[in-house]
Amino acid sequence: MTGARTFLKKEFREIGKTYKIYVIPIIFLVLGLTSPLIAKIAPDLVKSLAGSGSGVVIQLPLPTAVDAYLQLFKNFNQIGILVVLISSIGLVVEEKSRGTAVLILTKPVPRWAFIISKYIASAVLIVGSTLLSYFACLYYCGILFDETLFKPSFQGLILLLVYYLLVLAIALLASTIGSTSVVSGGLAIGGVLLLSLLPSLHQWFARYSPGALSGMETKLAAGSIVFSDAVPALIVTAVLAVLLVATAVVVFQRQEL
Amino acid sequence: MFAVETRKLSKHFGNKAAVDGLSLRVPKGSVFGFLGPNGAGKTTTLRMLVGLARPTSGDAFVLGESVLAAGKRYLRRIGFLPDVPGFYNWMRPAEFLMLAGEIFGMSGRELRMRVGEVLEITGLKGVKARIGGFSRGMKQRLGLAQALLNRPEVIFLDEPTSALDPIGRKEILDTISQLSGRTTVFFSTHILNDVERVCDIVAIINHGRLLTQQSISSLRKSYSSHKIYLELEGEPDISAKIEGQPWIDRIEKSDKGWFIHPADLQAAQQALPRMIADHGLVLRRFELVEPSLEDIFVRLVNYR
Repeated sequence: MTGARTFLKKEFREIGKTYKIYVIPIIFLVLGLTSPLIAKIAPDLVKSLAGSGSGVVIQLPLPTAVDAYLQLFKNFNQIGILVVLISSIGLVVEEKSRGTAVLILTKPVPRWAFIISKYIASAVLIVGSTLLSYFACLYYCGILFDETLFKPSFQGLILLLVYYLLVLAIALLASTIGSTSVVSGGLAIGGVLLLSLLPSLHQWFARYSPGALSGMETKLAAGSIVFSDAVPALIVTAVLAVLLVATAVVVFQRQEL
Repeated sequence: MFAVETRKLSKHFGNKAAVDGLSLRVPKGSVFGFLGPNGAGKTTTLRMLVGLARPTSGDAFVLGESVLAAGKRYLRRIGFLPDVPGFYNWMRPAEFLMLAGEIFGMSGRELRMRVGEVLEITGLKGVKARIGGFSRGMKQRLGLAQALLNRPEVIFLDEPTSALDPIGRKEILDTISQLSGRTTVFFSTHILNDVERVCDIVAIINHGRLLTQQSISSLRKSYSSHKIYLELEGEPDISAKIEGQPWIDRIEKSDKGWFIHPADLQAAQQALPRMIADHGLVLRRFELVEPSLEDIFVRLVNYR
């Protein structure tokens, strides 16, 4: 177990010593800070663009904190997922191609520990950055809209975080299977696209597949559904994430380096 | 018990056999030269021995434990330097060694002292730069340092000198010589000079098959005959006189003298000086030349 613990420690130190510790939290923080701002000024922006001189009167409802969270979750599901993917594509494949995996795995570090450590360290970074972003948004909402909508928005955030853990598991598996970063990247992006397309294919997927979570996050924040409506899809997502990480371990155990 | 033993070890990639029924026995404490041309199957064999690749058939044992066993407890007791060691570029040398040491369960003062020792041995003491900026030679030294760190009982080195300048090479070979007796060194190379300098036993492989395994001295005895180097004052052409003698195989001109390959060494040693005296020639050098490993290697690899 010493080898496993030491390698986990190394993973955290690697995050701390490379670009990841700055870039990822900063991108997420920017998303959290700008979402309420954009929601606040969007109606004025639309008026000034469309309304100038045309004589058309545009009636827009006053923005609320709900709009801020809609904006935040939209960003989380686009830019956020991209960041999760890009930061984790190389996790295993880079150690293989650089030859660092060889030096580590010919010492008493079990292969399962190699994979699990990478997943844990990346998950902590991503979850931490997302929480930071969320609380920044929450704080701004309090200032700009006089309401935080903490409970529904936090419930939405839980869905998002579990979805991120699945995306991370996809990237980890793709990184384990792929022989180069390009192959791994293609596999991971393909996997995530598939997840997001499934809900439009069949009613069942729209209710229970992981891709359904992104729609539910905003509906939760807006109060049009309750948390228990999302639980089945949430469980499916969590189970799938665990299965993919386990698959990555099994694949890596059999792999020749 | 042998430190390393392989039994009909084979590794196929598709139809191609990279290692083909290889049986080796490496005695404890020996410096074992694992010799073969590029692509002979040396690296593949090493990868199976350190648990990076699985044999297609056959088995191998390191310190008595099968490489097919699940736990691979022997990894604690070995060191491995791959042909191109890869490091984390953001680390400094001592940092990587501390990581490696902690993996082996070392810690505190003991670990710090040992890290200092191996940095000293490999000439990296005082190098504080990040590994990302290292030359290949420096990485090779750090690779040796991490392989020595846990005071391994068997150390596997895959072409450890190929990336090094002559001085670096000498230093690494000296380090290997010093290990002799305490640590079993399994040392793959295609550089014959290195083998002659440090190894007790050699195995020569080609196309994944073992051509021979024996001590260097017995290899010399059984695979190549001695030759005689002859140099005469005034450098006259003596080939006509010598050719046709019953004890000669062939004669070969060199820069200043002649290499005589005898069919019967003893007869040649007796007859040649007499012939020279009879013809009134003056002897400058008369020398028995030991066969070089290179001669043997080329013969074995080409003619089998």
